[in-house]
Parts: sequence; C-alpha cells; structure tokens
Amino acid sequence: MVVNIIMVVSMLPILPIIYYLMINEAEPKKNIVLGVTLPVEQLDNPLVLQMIARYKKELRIWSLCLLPVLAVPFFIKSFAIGFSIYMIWILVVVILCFYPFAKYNQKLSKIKKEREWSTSYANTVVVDMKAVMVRQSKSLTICYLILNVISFAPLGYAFFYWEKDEYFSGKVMLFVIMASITLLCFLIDLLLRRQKGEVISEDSIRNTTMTRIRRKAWKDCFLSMAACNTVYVVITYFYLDNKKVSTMSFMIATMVYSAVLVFISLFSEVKVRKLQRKYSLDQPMDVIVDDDINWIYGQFYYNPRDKHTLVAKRVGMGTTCNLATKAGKILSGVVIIALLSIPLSCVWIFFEEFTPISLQVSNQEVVATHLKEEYRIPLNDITELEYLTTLPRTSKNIGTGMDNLYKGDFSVKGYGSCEVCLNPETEAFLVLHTEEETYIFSDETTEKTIEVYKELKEVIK
Amino acid sequence: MLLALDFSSDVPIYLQIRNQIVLGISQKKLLPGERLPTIRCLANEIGVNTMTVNKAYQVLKQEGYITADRRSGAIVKARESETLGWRDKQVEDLRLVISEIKLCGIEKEELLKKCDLLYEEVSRHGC
Repeated sequence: MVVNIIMVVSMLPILPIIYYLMINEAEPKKNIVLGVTLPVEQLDNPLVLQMIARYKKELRIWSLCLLPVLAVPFFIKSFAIGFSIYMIWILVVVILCFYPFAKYNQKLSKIKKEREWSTSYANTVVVDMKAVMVRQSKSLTICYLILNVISFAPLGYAFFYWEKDEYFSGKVMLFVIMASITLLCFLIDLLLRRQKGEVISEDSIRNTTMTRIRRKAWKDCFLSMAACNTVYVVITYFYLDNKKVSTMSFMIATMVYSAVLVFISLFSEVKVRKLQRKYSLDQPMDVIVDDDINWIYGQFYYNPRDKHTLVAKRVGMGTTCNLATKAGKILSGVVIIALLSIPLSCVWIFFEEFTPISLQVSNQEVVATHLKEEYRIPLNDITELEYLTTLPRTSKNIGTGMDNLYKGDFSVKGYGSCEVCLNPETEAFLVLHTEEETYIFSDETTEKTIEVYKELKEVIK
Repeated sequence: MLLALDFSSDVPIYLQIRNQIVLGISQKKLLPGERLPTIRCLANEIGVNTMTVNKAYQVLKQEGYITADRRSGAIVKARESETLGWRDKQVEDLRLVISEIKLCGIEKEELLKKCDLLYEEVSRHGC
C-alpha cells in the first residue's frame, strides 16, 4: 500500500506536465502551431482553429483515459505486476500524448500544402549577423568549477577514508554518477552557448533579444540544476557515511531534489514559451523561417545539411538531436534502449518476486540461493546458530525488499547490520553468526527451514 | 542583417554570403566600422565548413568591402570615393546582364526604368 502511494505520488505529476506541454503546442509561438509554420494571416483561419480544437479534445480524452490506470495496482497484491503497470503506464503516457500531436501536425501540414500558404523563407538557412555575435559571459565557468569540486569531493574522501567493504564499489559508482550530473550540466551549458541564434524579424535587436532570452534560460536552468545536484551529492555522502543523515531525511531530500529539478525545468520552459508567444504576437513577425521539412511529425529533427547534433527546439528552451548526424543516431539509439530498459526492468522484478528462495546444506556449507547463489558459508565459520519464529523489525540498507523477499544488507533490530536472504512471510528464520558477519536466512517454506535448522544443529553441536 | 542561404541553389554558398553582405553594405544594413561575426561563429551558425565563410570573407576583403585580420576580425570598410568607382569586373558583369536582358527582348527604356526602380529600392533600404 505504502509503495503504491509513493509510486502514484511520483507518477501522477507526469501526466499533467506532459498534458500541459503538449496542449501548449497548440498556441502559436513564432508562427508555429502544432509544429507547422504558418503565415501570420492564417493563424486565425477557421480551419486552423478547428484543427487546434480537435487536437486539444483528443489530447484531453487520452489523458482522462490514462489517469484511472494508476489506481489499478492498488487492487493487485503482486509488487511485480503493480510495478510493471506503473512502468508501462509511463511509456504509454509518453507515446500516446505524442500521437495526437503527430496526427494533427500531418493534417495541418496537408492543409498548408493544399492551400499553398507560403512563408518568407522556405528551405533556406537564415541567420542574423548580429544574433550570431551574442556571447555568454564566461564568468559562469568559475561557478561550475566550484560546484564540480564540491560534487567530486565526497568521492575523493570516500575513496581514501572509507572502509573498502563489499558495498564500497557500489557506493563509489553512485558518487561518480551523481557528481557526473554536475559536470554534465556544465558541458551541456557549454554546448548550448553555441546554439543557433533566433530569427523572427528583420530587426537584429529583436533577434538578439530572443536569442538572449533562450540562452539566459539555459544558463539559469543548468546552473540551478548543478547547484541542486551538488547539495544532493553532499546529503547522499552524509547518508552513506554511517547514516549521519537519517533514512527519512534522506528520502525527503530525494523527493525535494526531484521536485526542484522538475520545477526548474518547467519554470524555464514555461518562461521561454511565454516570452516567445509575447514577442511573436504583440509584435508580429516579419520574417518567418520555415524549416518544417526538417521536422518529422513536427518533433524529430532530420536535416542532413545541418552538421549540428544538438539543436534547439523551435519552441521553448528544449533541445533535440539531429537524427541525420552519426552522433544523433547513436544518441537516439541510447534513448530507445533506455526506454526499452523500462519493460526489461519489469522482467527482472518478476524474476525477483516469483523465484523461490532455497536454503540447503551441501558439502559442509550453508547455501542460500535466489536467482543465483547468493551466500555460501562454510559450516566451520559458523560460531553460533539461532532459530527465530518471527522476524525482528528490519529496515533495508541495500538490496531488495518485497512482501515475500528480503535480500541484501538490512538493519535488523537486536542484530544490527545483517546479510539477509529470506521470505518474511514464513515463520522460521535462521540466524548464523560468523566472526565477521551475521546472516539471517530462510527457505521458501517454514518446514524446509526447520529441516535445515535441525541439520545444522547436529553439525554445529 | 539577415543572411538567407539557399542550399539547393546552384550559386555556391560562399558567393551567396558575399553577395548578401555586399547588398547589406549598399543598403546600409551594415555600416562602416561594424564588426562581422568571426569565421568560426558564422560557419557554426550556418552549419558549413569554416573554409566556406573564410572564402567569402577573403573575396570581400579583396574587393575592398571589408578589412580582416587575426586580431580585430572582419570589419566593414569605410570605402573611399575612388574605390566606389566602376571596376572592370563590374562593367563586364553589367555587360553580360544587359546582353541577357536584350536577348529577352526588353527595350532600353524599359531596362533603364527598371534600373532606376532598383536603384531607388536599394537606396531606400539605407534610409
């Protein structure tokens, strides 16, 4: 129940965010509606307005249909099935919300072609000589340098001073990944400073202003993200360093971190979109650069003539990759693999939940197996054996914690940090003490655990 | 000033850049002393090789429209009156254009009228 509530709270905002961004595509910005560039005088054309209305309606229907699906896992006992529903729901939300956009983009493009609505510059590359020269201050680099030093400091400290136990490499990897996000923010910011300038007018001042708006949004967005990530790296360090920060505080920090990242991205995106709308409506554009031909379904950029891999989206402050370049193809491949890994993670969780635990004594060793051989303890190493009928209160440090499976490093009341591999739904558990570690095991059934206990008792006596 | 480059045109890109900069100077969209973007920035913006922009700037420099050096970059040149006079190449170009127009069956009066209009148009942009 608690897991479901956490999942719903985390997932639910995705739908309204995507809905808002997609519905916003129907508002003309820089004379682009639903990814189609239109002449100014056609923006109020009844046909265009009708397309927009239909698109909005379809998007609303999709969103309303997807919303109740999130309640389904509350009625399913299996964690794996519930988790799979949530993961597949995310994929469906992303795909289905883009479907109406692609559909109405094609319809509007067809109308534009049939009616021969021509625009100022079609199939040409237009650049403003002044906007090209808009440069961003390099003083930001020092901010990024400080943030990166702070982000990587815990990694260095952990590497030299932390105990190198079996979880050490995992912790180091976690720090590397987390600190790399700060570095990535800097690199992306550096890359985006070289993005093309905006062209909406013959007037260079307006073009440079629009270019500055977008670049400032990028700068603010990535610098804030880097700062936020740095704080989170430090909190994680204190959490992993013998829990100097409690688990609850760490969880709250994680939620705040995620919420702040989403807020920063959305705030920047909405701000840029508003300004683009304001500039293109209050002061009508006299130059319309029409590169619709390079935007497949108005969303995917494919331009073999453009050697840029990362390009700014035409609306908002987002970026996309040029599918015509080699790097763009690789990047898209990575994204597709990442998306496909979502259902694959469900398969793994199915195996985790539905593979029974096995506990046995063989070749003078206690062997606990689940999916693979998890633990193998020589009988000679066991100094003490205990039999429990109820499992003391436990909290997971690292590992898997499901209704029918506890596996990994857990804090167990009365025993401290233990290695466990057990089914908490059974009524027999074996506590094995060795000189270095304490283990708590069980088999899938109570009977089998008791059998193993009797066998061990004989030997250890 | 805008540069609109047609990649499907038969006119080479460097020549399109050169022509539009000349047009911009004549229409006073680019003023003497005004700095032009660096070769790297402009090439990056257009999405072409730096050699293409470099070639356009070299032609403009040779023709006396801009000055360009490594330290100060490319700057629109304040042209002296004598450099504004007719050049052999321009006369040759004009001769060719007039020949083509004549072959199209356009009379002298009509041609002069059109020239007058175009001259006005170019001058008006600069006001």
